[in-house]
Amino acid sequence: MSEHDNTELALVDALDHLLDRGVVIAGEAVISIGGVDLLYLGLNVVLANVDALVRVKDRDR
Amino acid sequence: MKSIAIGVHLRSEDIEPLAAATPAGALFVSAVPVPEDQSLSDRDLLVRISGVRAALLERATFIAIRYGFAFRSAAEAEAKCAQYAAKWKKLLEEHRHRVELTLRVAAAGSARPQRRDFQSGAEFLRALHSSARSARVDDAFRAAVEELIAPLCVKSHWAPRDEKSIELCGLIERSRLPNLSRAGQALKARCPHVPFLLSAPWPLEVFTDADHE
Repeated sequence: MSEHDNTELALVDALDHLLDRGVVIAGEAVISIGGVDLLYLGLNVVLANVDALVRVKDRDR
Repeated sequence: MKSIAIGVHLRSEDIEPLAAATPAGALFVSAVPVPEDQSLSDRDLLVRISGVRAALLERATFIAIRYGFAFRSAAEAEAKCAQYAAKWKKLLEEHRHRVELTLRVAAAGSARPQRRDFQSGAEFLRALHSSARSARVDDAFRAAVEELIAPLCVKSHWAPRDEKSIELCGLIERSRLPNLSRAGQALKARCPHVPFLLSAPWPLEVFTDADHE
């Protein structure tokens, strides 16, 4: 996995924690971008052991 | 202008000048002021606040407020936080030198329920909840985590995140983060077939819940 990919992964994880973590003070805002509800994205796509991800990418080529 | 809250802190100097510090009783709320008509879903704003949040955590541990809470006066912020203030102050003093970690692992479980298969929203939500609770993690991986990661934590527990993943949440001394990094590498070497994401440091959130105290 490249440094760029790692940076992207870190950013996505940070955004996930921002959107899906933290004490809820007064209700929950539903945040969406381009009609896609981010709170429901869950960011499961970034569940990645680096080596496993590379293998998946290689396999899919 | 409105202020988008980021976290609750013990001291104003833990916040300024990275963000605005708004007094809330004996505590301080960090926030980023934005124009009243600024959309909370603006991508650049999300990235900016995420960056401020990370910088604040470098300074000192705080209690994270979930994105979306905006206030327009110090009185409003204090009023909204008043019922939690005493508990939060105690937690912040107790865990000042600690941060949270999360280790997410892909889970084996039932398929995500589809809304069209249920007549009512309530039935769908129950099925969704049940599906998430049924998520399981590979036994060997779990044992490796218990051996390598959990002992580094002051407290830790497993929690189903959704139907596709399970998460170990931990509270760890900041001074042990280098050990955590090494433990993560060891875990990857021992279980190369299991996709996981180990990340830290994070502000206090899971361990502000009395159920996990």
